[in-house]
Amino acid sequence: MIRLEDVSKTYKGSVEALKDLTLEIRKGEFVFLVGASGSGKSTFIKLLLKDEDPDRGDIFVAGKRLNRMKSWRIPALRRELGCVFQDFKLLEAKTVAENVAFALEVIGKPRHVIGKTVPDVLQLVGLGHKHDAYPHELSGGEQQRVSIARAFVNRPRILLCDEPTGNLDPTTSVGIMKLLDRINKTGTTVVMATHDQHIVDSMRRRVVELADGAMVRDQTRGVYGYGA
Amino acid sequence: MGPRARYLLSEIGIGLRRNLLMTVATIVTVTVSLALLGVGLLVERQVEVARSVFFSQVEVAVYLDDGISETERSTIEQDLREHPVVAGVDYESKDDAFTQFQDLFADNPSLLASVTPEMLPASFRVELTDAQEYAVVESAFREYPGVNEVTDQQDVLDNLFLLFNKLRDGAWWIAGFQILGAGALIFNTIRVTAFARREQTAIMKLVGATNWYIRLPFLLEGIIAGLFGALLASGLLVLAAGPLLSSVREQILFLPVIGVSEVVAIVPILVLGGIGVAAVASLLSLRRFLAV
Repeated sequence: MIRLEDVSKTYKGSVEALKDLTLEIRKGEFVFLVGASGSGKSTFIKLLLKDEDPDRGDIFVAGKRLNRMKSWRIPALRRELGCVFQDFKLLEAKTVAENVAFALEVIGKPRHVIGKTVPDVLQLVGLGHKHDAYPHELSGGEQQRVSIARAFVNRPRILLCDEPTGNLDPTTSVGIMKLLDRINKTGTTVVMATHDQHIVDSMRRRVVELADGAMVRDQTRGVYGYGA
Repeated sequence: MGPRARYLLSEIGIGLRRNLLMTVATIVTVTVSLALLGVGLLVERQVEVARSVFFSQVEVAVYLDDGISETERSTIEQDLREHPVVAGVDYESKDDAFTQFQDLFADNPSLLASVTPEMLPASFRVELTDAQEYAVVESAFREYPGVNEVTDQQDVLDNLFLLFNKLRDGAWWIAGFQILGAGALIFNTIRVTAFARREQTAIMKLVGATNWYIRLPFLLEGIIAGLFGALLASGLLVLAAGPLLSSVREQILFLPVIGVSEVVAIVPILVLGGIGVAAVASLLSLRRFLAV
């Protein structure tokens, strides 16, 4: 589903963000990406989104080779990917249902499809009763659920999460992780960059650790740190 | 209406309202610039019309004294015919001149009533092998007995048209600056709008909206402002043309004047101009501020 071969990336006038990274993530896997700030986690996610290009190496995502991909093909790639961020990125002027529907409208889905899919996905994330609420009326956890609903509503093959629990308290985080786990069980590949040691330790999934842009650990059923 | 059309309409509506003042400024600037462009085009059209009417008639006119004798007249005619740069000679009597005059000003009875054949000079209408050779003919025949005046009609017309050409050039210069201003306003409006919508744009990119889907509302916003300006300019010109042209017709009696249909004919040019300026400015701004 995702394959990186000897990928390196250096930002202009800066240190190497990723060094010769080789990694394969299979369909349906749940992978934690851990490491200190600046270890390359965000760069990794940006490369998969083709928001950034690597200096060297090949990247394959959902059967597509990203190197030298024509820019007009990028939207098709991104429709295969769902994205969840620490800061939710919801539109304040739109209701919960409108925020989710927006993701389908702008890729040209017909109205009857939108009308059917949006309530379903809101039900799935446990916000069936909050259709018409605005983001500022919701708790942080609820806002993150809306953002997950938006990322998942088009049934992407891969869900990329960049610190999705970074702004949430531990109890709320557990709820979000349960939701991501449920989405993973539908066959969706989930890649989650995180700092949250507690979550990683309790989930016991594959852990990839980066340090200064290099992969220092790749462990199935891993925990956050060595010796934990 | 599908979700796509609804999205477009609501985005354009939001954009135009959010920048109401800028939108009004843009439309006014486009209107003024295109109206001036139109004025220039109409002046040029006017010159063409007048030129074609006058030039089809004559190149050089040798006007004769009223008291010219028959011998003097035939000497002049013979010498003209034998002159190397002369291609053809026509005699125009006072009556001929009056008939011409009647044809030319058929729609101006008050002028016709004030003129009699006696008031108009007889002349030889001389066609040259090369219009540039006017000076040769002029100096050769100026001193002939019975010749009142030798005139180069082209010269007369050019003097007349000089004013028109200056008017046209002036209109076009101002129009050019105004168009630059309109383009800058559109460019800036899109920059502001792109900034105001940056979060929404980021999400659209993230979920895989195509570049054109993201850009289209911006582009159409600019184009609608351009189109509005063009239609306003056209309306102004068409409305103003009727009274203005008839007053010109009364002021300059001998001049054939263009009609309102000529004004209507330039409307498509103005509309294309308005849309074109808006589209170019929008695309430049989008490339700069909405890189996808």
